[in-house]
Amino acid sequence: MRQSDKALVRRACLGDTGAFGELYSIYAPELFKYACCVTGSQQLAQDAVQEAVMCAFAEISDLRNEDAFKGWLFKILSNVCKKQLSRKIELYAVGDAGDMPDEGTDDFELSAQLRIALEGLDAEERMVLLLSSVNGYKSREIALMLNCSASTVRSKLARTLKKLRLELED
Amino acid sequence: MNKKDRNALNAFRSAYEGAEMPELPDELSKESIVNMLDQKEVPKTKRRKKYMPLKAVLAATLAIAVIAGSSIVYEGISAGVKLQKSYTSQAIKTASDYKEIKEIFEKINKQNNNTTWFGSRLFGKATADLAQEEGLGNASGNNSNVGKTNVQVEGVDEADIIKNDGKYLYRLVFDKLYIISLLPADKMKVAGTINIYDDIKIADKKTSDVTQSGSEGSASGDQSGASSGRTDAYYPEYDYLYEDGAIDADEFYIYGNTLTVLGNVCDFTTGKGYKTFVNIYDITDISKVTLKKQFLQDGLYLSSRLIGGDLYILSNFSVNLNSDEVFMEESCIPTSGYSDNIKTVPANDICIVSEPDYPSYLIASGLNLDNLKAGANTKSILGAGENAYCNAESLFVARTKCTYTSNVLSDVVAEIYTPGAYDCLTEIYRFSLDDGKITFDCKGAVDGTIDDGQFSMDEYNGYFRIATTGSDKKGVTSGGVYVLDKNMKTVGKITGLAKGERIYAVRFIGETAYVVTFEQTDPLFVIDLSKPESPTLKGELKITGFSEYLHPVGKNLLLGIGKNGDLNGTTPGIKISLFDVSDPKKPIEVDRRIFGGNSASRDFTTDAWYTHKAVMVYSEKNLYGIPVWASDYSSGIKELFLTIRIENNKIINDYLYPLSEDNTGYYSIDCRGTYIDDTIYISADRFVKAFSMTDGSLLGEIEL
Repeated sequence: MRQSDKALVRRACLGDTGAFGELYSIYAPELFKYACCVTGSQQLAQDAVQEAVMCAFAEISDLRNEDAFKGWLFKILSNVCKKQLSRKIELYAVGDAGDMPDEGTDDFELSAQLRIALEGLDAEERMVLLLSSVNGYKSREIALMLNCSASTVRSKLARTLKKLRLELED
Repeated sequence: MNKKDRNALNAFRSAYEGAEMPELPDELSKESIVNMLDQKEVPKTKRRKKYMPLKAVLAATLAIAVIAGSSIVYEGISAGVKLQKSYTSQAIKTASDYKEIKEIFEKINKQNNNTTWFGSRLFGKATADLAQEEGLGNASGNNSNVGKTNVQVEGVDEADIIKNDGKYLYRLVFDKLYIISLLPADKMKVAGTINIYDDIKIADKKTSDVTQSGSEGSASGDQSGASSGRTDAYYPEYDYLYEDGAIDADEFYIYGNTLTVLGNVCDFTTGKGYKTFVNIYDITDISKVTLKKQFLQDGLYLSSRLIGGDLYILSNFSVNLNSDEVFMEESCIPTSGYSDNIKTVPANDICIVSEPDYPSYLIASGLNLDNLKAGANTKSILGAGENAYCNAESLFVARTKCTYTSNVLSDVVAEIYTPGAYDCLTEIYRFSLDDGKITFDCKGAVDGTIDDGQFSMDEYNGYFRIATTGSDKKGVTSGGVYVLDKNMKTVGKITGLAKGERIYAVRFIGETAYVVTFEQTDPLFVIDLSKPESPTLKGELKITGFSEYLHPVGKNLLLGIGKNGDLNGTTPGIKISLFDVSDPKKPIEVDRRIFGGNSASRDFTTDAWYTHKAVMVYSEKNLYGIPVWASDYSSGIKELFLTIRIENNKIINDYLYPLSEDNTGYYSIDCRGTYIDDTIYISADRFVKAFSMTDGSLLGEIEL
């Protein structure tokens, strides 16, 4: 992390929304793209990023390691995405799903190949795949984000890749 | 990582990078976000709704197992609004010959040509990872001051990754079993090790770089998650999926001077896929442990139980329907036996309960550890199992079976559980056990799915009881408790408990069932089962948070270990509750403790949520222990072991033993606690630490 960005984290810790906004803008496209792929819905992704940002700003004073900002943000976003998906299921249960888009019957167009790849995976598998292959996180870092052991991440990734191979080979 | 995986990863990465994604919406522009933060008062502590629990994910996953041509027997629709089904119990019919079996599989093959199978989910490690079912009954001594595995039924031992015989601690780490002399605690040492892999004797085992313990290996990839010295090349969970001869040692038993390890070995060369192995070692001389016998049976290891010296082993064997005509007969007949004498299971030991819908078997074997020469006894049933309950006389294996009733195909493709889209039932196979001999009796079924693994089942006074979560046509869930007779026919039931909720924990104690359901608050239901024909709801209690595991404390108290919560659902943190159930009509939460924060970036979790075996029970001291993970992205993970005592209807905080604290990723997994007298021994995959339970001081430690 650049020194100037670390300064932004410290300012954000003191409640400076502008500084937080600057930091956010660095990662916003990545966060949104990640949320879109995990939730399969633009609307859910937008809600998830908004909620994650609110949550992160409320808790940033607890962030002790400035370098960890990005991973920490992804951890919060991953938790929020999981919540979004379970909330959607709850809404179905009480018959109040409204216009909530379905995962898989997404409200945006993905490239055919990416769509095929993601369709066969559940939310956690998508997270592990995206965090490792696209964002380049190591299994121990993903473990911290998804609150599981690194070995679980590795076995999840192995399983995901096996499925991916089958999907892409088809 | 192998080449194919790397290619898949690269293909995905290019697809991702090349994909056109939606533009960042205006609502997510920097200005909008800053505006939002400026306008809204961001609360320091937020009210949260629950996250999708792991068990619900599992249920959802299982619900995806779409089965065509269900064998539900509809006996009409009752006067009620909800579609009621009743199931006929089904008795045994054995196959007349292998030809009959082959024909059945060919028929399934034809039926399923256009069906999407999610078989690996049902039978693969995914189930084991998520459900983590199974956990006293160590045969080596009855000393009540020596820690034993926390089990469901007294006298029926359950395998685990750690056992303690009062002198040695046995610890399984991947494919290696460490024997550690514990006394004195400040001079613990590794007295012996067993390399399980070296003792696997399948014909086509490869001896490449798959599982060479201690070698540095040369494979690329991140090694940080594995224990020291391990690499991707022989990381068991990873290899498990691909490599012939790779093994996954799951758990073990200690019985007298016999140590028995159970797990899986890959054996794709025979077309059978996975085999369950049972390695039986003589540990009379710890420094010279010898393999006495090895037993193998087809299929993925599901569960096991040890009653006296009788070991019962269950596996799910998924038949490869892609075999050609010649190979078909070979691949669809299960085999079992000691490694020097593996035989096909005789046709008259293969039971055809009903027209099977899934190309798989549940294989159950019994063998006597005191008399290995007597051979093993194997029964195969067309079907499969997910959870096992066992007492001294009977074994019950349950399986969820769902029929997809929605037309929304995208739900299936996206693997999203849409309530109401599936019609689920639980099939239960009943076996009689006698001196290592196993006999299949009959099969029954009830509505709904099991949510609390083996604890959802129980047998008392000849009646089998089971708690399930069912749902109506609109997908509104509710809990139910069913009572079945010896013929697996439902004689009584109570349904509609907690509409809109799912069951999270169950404990049957004598004539009473305690059921925890959860949506936003946690009702604890007390159900009177004294009259099997008419179970009645006696009382209920609503509190925030919920219990994942219930443990009886004396006659009148129940200890609940679960998740913290507020009126909106769960919040991060571990909740330990103490319930007074002396008055079944009025259960009371007499005390509670919350461990952990209230933050989306920090979580406190415990393995006790997922397996009862992670709960250490020291009855003599009224002391209970659980491993705790305190995870914080910015400061890493702290591993701790928490002990509490129950005194005068109160939870007393005992100790929070520090285990490790680092941010390097080399943290450990699979933590368990055990004890000898006043010393607590805590072991994860990389260490054993001994602490004084009198003053909490560290007495000794050893690295594995």
